[in-house]
Amino acid sequence: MRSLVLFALLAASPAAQAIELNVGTVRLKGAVEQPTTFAGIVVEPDRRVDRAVRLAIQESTIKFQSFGIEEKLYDLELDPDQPLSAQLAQIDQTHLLLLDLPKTQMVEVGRIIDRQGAVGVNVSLADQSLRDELCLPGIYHSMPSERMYFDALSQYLVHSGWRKVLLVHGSSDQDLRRKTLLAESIKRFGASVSDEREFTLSHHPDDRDRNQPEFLTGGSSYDVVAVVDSAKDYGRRIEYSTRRPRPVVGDVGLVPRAWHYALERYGAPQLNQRYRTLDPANSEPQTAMTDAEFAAWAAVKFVVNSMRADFVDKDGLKLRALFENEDSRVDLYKGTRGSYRSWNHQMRHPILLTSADYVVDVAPMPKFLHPTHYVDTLGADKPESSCQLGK
Amino acid sequence: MPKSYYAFRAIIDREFARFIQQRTRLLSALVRPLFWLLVFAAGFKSTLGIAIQAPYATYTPYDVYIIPGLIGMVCLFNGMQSSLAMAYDREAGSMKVLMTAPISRRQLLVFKLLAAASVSTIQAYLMLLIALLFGVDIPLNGLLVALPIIFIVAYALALIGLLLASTVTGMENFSGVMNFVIFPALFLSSSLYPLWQLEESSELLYWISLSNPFTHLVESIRFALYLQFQPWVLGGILSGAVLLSYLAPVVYKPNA
Amino acid sequence: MRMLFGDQSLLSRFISVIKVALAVITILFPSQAVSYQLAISNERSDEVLLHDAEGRVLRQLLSCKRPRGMLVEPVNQDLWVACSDEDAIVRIDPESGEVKQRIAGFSGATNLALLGSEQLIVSNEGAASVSLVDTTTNVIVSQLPTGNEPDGIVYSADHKRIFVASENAGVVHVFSSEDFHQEALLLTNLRPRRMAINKDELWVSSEMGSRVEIFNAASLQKMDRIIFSPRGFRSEQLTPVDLIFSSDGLTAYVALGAANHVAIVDVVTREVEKYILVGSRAWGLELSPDGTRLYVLNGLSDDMTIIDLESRRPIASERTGLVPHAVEVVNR
Repeated sequence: MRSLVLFALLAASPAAQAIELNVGTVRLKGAVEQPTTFAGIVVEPDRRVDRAVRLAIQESTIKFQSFGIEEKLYDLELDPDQPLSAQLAQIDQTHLLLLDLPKTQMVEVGRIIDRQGAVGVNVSLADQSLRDELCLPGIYHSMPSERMYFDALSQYLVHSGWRKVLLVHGSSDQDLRRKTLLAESIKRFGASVSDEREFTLSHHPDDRDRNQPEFLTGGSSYDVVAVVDSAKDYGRRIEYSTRRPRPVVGDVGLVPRAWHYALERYGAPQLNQRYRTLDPANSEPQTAMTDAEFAAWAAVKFVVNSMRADFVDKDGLKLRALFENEDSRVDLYKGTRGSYRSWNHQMRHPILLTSADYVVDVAPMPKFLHPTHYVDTLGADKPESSCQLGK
Repeated sequence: MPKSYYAFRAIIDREFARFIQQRTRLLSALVRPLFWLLVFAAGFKSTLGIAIQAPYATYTPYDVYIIPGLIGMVCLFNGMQSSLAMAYDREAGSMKVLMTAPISRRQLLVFKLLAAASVSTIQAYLMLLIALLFGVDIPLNGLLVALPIIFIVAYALALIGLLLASTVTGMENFSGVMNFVIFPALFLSSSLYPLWQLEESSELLYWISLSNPFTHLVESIRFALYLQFQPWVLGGILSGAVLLSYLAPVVYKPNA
Repeated sequence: MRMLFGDQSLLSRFISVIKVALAVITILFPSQAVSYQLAISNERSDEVLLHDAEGRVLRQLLSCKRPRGMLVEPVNQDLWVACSDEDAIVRIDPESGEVKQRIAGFSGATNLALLGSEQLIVSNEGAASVSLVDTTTNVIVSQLPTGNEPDGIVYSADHKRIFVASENAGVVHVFSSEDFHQEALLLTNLRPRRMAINKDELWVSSEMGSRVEIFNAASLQKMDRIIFSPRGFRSEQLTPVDLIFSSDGLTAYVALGAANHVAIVDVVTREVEKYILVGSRAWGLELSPDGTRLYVLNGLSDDMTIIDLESRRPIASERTGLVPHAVEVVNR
C-alpha cells in the first residue's frame, strides 16, 4: 500500500538515483548588503534572499521526498569584471537560478542560461523594461513589476475617491522613469494628476519651493500626495508636512508591497511565524520577508506547488516544462493563487497596500474587473504588453 | 351612493378599456422593468450579494433586491402616463364631459386616480409573475400582504403625477416627464441600489436620495413584501395621499 | 371622499389581522420540536458563544484566546475547544460553560478529533505535527510529524486510518490508527483544508485549488474532483474550506469561502445542484440533528447564515462574535 501511493507516481523505483534540483542564489560579488540613506540610518531593510529560500525549501521537504527529488542549495557570486558565461558554465537544466542582480547582469545572465536550458527567476528587480521592452524568454519574474505596484496604488486611490493626485518626485533617472509610470497608471484608472513637483535635497534658500514640503505641496488643489522617491530619503519629510491636510502615498505613507508582517489573513501569520523562527536570532515580531525575499520564496514554492509526475522522468526534472505549463501555480498566502503570465513571464500577485503597521487593503480592488483574471488588472495585460512570449 | 358608483364604474371601465386596447403600452410597461431585471441585473449584479439590511433577514441577490424598485418603476411610469392622459383629456375636453357627471370634482379626480392605481397594480403583478417564472426568489406570502401597499403607492404616484401635470407647465410631453421626474426619482432612490452604496460615493447624493419620496414608497413595498411594516412611513404616505387628494381639485382646473 | 377614509381604516384593519394571524401561527406551530443549541467559537473575540437553534446568542460559554476547532464527546456530550493562542484544549459543560478539563502543551492547536473514547488527536498549526492525547491522564502520548499547518483531521469509516491535511505541504497524511505509522501520503491540489468521509470516499477541500478532490479511502487512489464554477465568478474567488455530508450520504455541502456561497453537491453524480448565497467568507458548516438545516459561519461578516434544506433557501443571518470559526450542535 505504501509504495503504491508514494511511489506509483515515479517511473523509477525508490532505490534509483535521486532526481536533482539545484537551487542557486545568484548575486554580484561584493554587492552592498544593506543600503543606508545617511549616517547608517536604514529606512528599508534590504537583505539577501537566502533565508526566504531556506524557508521555501524547508516547506517543500515532504513533497520533494515523495517525488524522489533531492534539492541542493548553493550561492553563486558573480564577478562582473570577468566573462559571465564562463562563470555560469556548469549551469544546466537541473538548475533553478534565483537572480538577485542589477539590471545589466540580470539581462546577460538571462540570455546565457536560456541557451543552457536552465530557468532564471528575477527575484529583486521591479523594473518595468525587463518585462516589456527587453522581454527575456529565459527569465521569469516572481518580483512584482513597477506597474503592478503603481496600478494597485491607483486602483486604491480611485476606489477611495481620491482622484486628484499631486505627484512629488525626485530628480534621479530612476525617479523620473517611475514618476512617468505612476502618472500613466493614475490616468489609466481614471484619476488625474493635478500637478507634478520635483524636490531637491538642497537646503539652499533659493530652492525653497523645491526643498520645503509646505511650499512643494502648496498652490495646487489635490486629494492626495503621491511620492516617488526611490532612495526613500527626502520623501520621508513630506508626510505630515503637506500644505493641505492630505494623505501621502507611494514610496512613503501608504506603500504598495508584495508582503508585510501585519497581514492577518490567508494563512500569512503562519508563514511569517515560520520565517521568524527559522532564524531565532533575528525573530523580532515585526520582522518579515522583504518583497525580494518574498519573491524568492514564491519562486521556489512555485516549483514545489506545481510539481507533478509529468515533470519528472528518468532524465530528471523538466523544470522548463513545469514553468511553461498553464496549470502551474503557487499558493501565495494572499488569498489568490499565483501563476506566471504567458506573455511576459510576470508572476501574478495581489498587491498589499500597507501603512507602517497595517495592511490597509489588498489589490486588485473590488469592481476593477477583468474577463479572465482579476489580478491581471495589475500590470501590463496581454493586449498592452510589448512582450509576447507565449504561443 | 349609487350616483358616484356609476361614475366610478364609468371611469374604471374607461381606464381598463384603454389598458386593454393599448397593447403596446402594456408591453412597454412590462418590458422596461423586465429589461432591467433580466439584462441589467445579470450584467451588473454583484455576485457576492448585497449585505444584510432591513427588511431582509439574510444576504440578498441583486435580482431579488431590485424587485420592489421595479414595482415602484411600473407604478411610476403608469402613474405619470395616466396623469398625462388627464392633461390630454383636459385639452381635448373629454374631462369637461366627465365634469358634467353629478359628482363633485374631488370625487371625480379620486376615482380617476383609483382607476389609474388599479391599472398600475395589475401591471406590477404581471411583472412579478414574469419575474417568478424567470426564477427570481420572491416571497409568495409577501406578494399577498404587499397588495394594499402597492395599491397605495400606485395611487400616491398617480396623484403626484396629476399635481405635477396640473401645476408645472411643459409637462405635457412624456420626454419632459422622463427627464425631470422619472429618471431623478428612479436613480436618486433606493430602488436600484441600496442607499449605503450611494453614500460610499457621495454623501450629498445619499441625502438627496433619502429625502426622495420615491425612496420611501419603494421601501414600504420592500418591507411589506417581507411582512414588515414601518408605521411612520406608511402613515406619512397615507396622510400625504389624503391631504394631496383634497388639494388636487384646487390646482386641477379643467377649463384652464 | 368617504371611500378614501374607508380605504385607510380597511387597510390598517387588514394589517392588524395579518399581524395577529402571523403571531398565532408562530405560537401554534413553532418550527418543529427543536431542542438543541449551537456552540460557536470566535477567533477574534476570544470566546465561545452559545446560540439557540434560530441563531440568537444566549450567553458566553467560554473565554479563551483564539478558540478554533471544537468537538462534542458522544458519551457525556461535553464540548472540547481548541484554544489556539493558549496552546491548549479545554473540555467544558456546554450548558453552564464550566471548565472541566484543560490540557496544555500544543502549539497553536487548530482542530481536534476523537480517537476511541479516551484519546484525542489535535493538529498543531504552529509545530507541523499532530498530538495524541490521553484524556484520562492529560498526557500527550505522542507527536506525529506532518507538513506545515496541519488543519483538518478525519477517520476512515472503519476507524483504521487517520487522515491529516497539511495546508502548506499540499498533502494529506495517512496514519494507521493502530500503531500511528504513516501509511501513505496523498498529494492534493493547493492548500488542502478540511476533509469528510462518506463510506469509502475521502473528500478533501483544496482552498487555493478551488476544488474538492475525492480519494478512495481504502485504495487511496484519486477518484474524482469537483471544480466549482458558479456563473459570474472567477475561479480564483472560489476557496472551499469546510464540507459536510447529509446523514444519508447522498448530498454534500461545501462552504466556498471568498465566493460567499455554499454549494450543494449530489454525491452520486458529482453535480453541483445549487449555490446558495451566504455571508462573507463562508467557512464553518454544521447540520441540525434532524438534517433540515445547515448552519454556515461567515468569518468576515461576523455572522451565521441559516439555510433551510427542504426549500434550499437561506432563512436568516444572525450575528456571531468576531471571526466565527467553528459551530457544533450541543445540548440536544
